[in-house]
Amino acid sequence: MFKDFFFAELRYALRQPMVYIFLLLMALLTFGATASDNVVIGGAMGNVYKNAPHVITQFTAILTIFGLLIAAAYFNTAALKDHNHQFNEILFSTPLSKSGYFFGRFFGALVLSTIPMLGVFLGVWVG
Amino acid sequence: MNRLVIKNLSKTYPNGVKALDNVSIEIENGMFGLLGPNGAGKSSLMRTLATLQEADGGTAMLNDIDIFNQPHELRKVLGYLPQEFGVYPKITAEQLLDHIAILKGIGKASERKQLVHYLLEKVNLYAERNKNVKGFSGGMKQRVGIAQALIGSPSLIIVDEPTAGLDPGERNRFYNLLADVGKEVIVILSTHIVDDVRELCTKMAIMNGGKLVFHGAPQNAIDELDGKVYQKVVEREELDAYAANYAIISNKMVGGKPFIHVYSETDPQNGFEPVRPNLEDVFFSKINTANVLV
Repeated sequence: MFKDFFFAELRYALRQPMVYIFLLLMALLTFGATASDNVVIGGAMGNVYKNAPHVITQFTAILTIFGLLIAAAYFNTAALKDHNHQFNEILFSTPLSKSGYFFGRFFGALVLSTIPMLGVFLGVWVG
Repeated sequence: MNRLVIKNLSKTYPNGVKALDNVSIEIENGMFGLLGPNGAGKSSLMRTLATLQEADGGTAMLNDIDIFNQPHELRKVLGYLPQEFGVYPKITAEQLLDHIAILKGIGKASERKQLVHYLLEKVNLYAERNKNVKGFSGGMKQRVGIAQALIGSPSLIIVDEPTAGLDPGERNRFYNLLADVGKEVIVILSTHIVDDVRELCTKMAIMNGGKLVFHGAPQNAIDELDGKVYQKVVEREELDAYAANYAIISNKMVGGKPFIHVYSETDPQNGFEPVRPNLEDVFFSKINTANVLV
């Protein structure tokens, strides 16, 4: 039951453009910060390497704050999509297991909201 | 033989509406029609039986499953088609049924596939199996709904106003399908369309204001009224006077003139003609006990 909800959640979202858009956006930001001097996130000044571990940590820390907004979007879908689409009555009259439903949705959304954050490292790497 | 026994079921909503008032019914295999005007408590009763909401008091047993204390057991043998339902966008009929089959505990993929194809054949949607359910017409969606309710060979099927918004052809097809499956299980059908019940159901109940006002076979109810219903076409201005003097069951317009049915133990004379009662007269005589114009 966990597995089904987990993968259904992933499959559904990965077919939507949203997750890719966020991923690209994140990658673009850090790519810019790494490759050009005009974009500064946290910032590497003077003779600190632009890909110094400290700088990358700063990128990650700052962009994770924006990542919270993305997470909100995914968890919102996970929690409310049955009600929004009026599928709840059918769903809750089937013998589904509470924990499978809850944790499947939860971890599905968790993984989904992590994917855009990978863009941070992708951008740094490419940059 | 399945048996559903409901005893003294009550439910009052937080806003003070008494949706169910001491309802007791026994239901056996076959189609059971639940008739009542809007807001009579039909949906409340069905939602309660489908374990979607809890009752304040009373018990309900399906065979030896206590619906309120073992909801999980009941859901395994329950098929429920809600009054209104939607689906996720971008999900095909086949995916949807497969998803629900998983939830109903059919673990093997091959078994599931076979079942889903069988049901799609049965509801005549096999050709449409790879199309998005969101884009289906009302009738097709409703057929997906009934296919969904049939998964997992349920012994109790609850359908809540399934024909609202269907054209007559679709309605007939839907009922044929339901009658087909309804022979060996309990099917509870709620509707406010009187004809549906007459055509389909061997047993029926009429609800009004949360109370059960009639329970039995439709034919018995009609026989009870036999010879006591009279009809007359009257002028619109006289309508109020007739309402004051006679026990009016129903009034409707026929050819622009009010056409009234009245209840009377004796022949009321005065131009009234006796008429064979139909289920609609039964319905109105049970819910319109104050004999007011509707």
